[in-house]
Amino acid sequence: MLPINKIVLDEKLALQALRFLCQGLKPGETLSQVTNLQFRTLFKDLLAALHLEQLGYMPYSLRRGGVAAAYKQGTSLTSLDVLVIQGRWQHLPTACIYVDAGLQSMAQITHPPRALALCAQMATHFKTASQKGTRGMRNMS
Amino acid sequence: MATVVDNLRYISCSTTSVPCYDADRNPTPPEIDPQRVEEYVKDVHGEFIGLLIAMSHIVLPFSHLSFVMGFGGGFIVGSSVTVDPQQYEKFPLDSMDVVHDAIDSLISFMRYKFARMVSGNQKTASLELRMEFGRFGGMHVQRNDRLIVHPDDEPFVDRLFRSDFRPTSPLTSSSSSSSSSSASGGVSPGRLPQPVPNVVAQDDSCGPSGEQISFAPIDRGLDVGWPKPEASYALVALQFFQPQTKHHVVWAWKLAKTWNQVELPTRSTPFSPEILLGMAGQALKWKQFRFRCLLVLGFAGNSAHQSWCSSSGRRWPCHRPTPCKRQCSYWTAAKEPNGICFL
Repeated sequence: MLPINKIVLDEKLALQALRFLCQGLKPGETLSQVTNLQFRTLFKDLLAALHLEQLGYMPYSLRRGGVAAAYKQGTSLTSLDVLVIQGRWQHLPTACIYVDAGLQSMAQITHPPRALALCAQMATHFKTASQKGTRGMRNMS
Repeated sequence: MATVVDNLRYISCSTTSVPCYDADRNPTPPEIDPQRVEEYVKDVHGEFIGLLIAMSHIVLPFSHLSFVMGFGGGFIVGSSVTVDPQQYEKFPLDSMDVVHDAIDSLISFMRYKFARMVSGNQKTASLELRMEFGRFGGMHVQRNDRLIVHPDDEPFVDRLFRSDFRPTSPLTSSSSSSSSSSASGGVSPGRLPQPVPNVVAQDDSCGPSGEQISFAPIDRGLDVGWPKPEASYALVALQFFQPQTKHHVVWAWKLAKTWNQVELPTRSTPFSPEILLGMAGQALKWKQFRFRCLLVLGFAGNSAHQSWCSSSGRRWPCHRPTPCKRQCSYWTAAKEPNGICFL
């Protein structure tokens, strides 16, 4: 994977998260401070805790879900252009294919009720400790 | 208002590739002194892992199984310890979870054995175990990488593959269609000859010249839905560790090729905002503040997580809710700048 040399953030929560992650870091250090394996391990444990482990979620789901959610927010051509910049694609058709596939997957996935209940509970827990303004919270409101 | 952060110095180059043994460049792995490994492991992880190694030396000779237990860069194979020299240097063995998961896998394999299911499910168990250890041991191959076979998979491959050959007859022209079922050639159920166990083990060859053998794990992988590249990796591993099988698994290769053509790529399921918030909330509950931020950042910034990870992570607070001794050593003080919550 190519290194990311540019990232576009327009969410207040994401900016706060980035600032938080950058605190105390030295030049050259990575944001996560963990290895790929450690990241995946914790990610897997989180999925298991929410009973989501059999649904095909992987760390890359973050990018796919983020793009799909951003696209659902605004479907005009202008927003798609912004999305191409945010997602660091070179060509618009590629981004369209990516977004379409993501939206299809999101439409097809069925979550077990227990997992949804747990997610809702944890989301409430998160929101109580967070400010408003995330992309997801806008959709949920 | 969009904020563009150019050339973030904190986002460094991706380090998705785990240090692995490259079988193509160096077919003969150098010997590693087990004593040196034990000393090294004790230095890094203290007496716990050293004790684990010592116990494995005691237990393993009495077992009827060839246990393979992985712990990061090192592996215990039978009663000997081998370490990939590259991992030895680059993989600092700081992930205790590797040890835990390896032990869990080992226990599950023992359950297979004690439940007398191994004879029937030996292939299943071996495959699962091989895949587990393969992932931990460096067999996790990224999309654009070349095949990398870890030398410590050799006993697995050897044990697994010796009992999984059977002779096949070549495909007739009428049956060689492009569908995956018929493309299995000599492995389609209706045309399968009776299995001949240990074809390789009997005379350490593939039988008469020109005889073709099929490779049962490929068939099984097709049935259970392996990821696309897994069949090719398994076959290359087979030919590396069992050179006598070269040019004798033609039909397995044909099956793998057709499989790669017809099988749809597996893509990860995209997160919905609700699921993301649930994940972030769970991370918050486990006091994984940095991870929670990474989830938010990955979702909002459309980033892949490999861009943030480093090759040598530092210790972080254990997230598992049940405390135990082995996890206590994982704990370090969580020095988060703003206390519990960053918002």
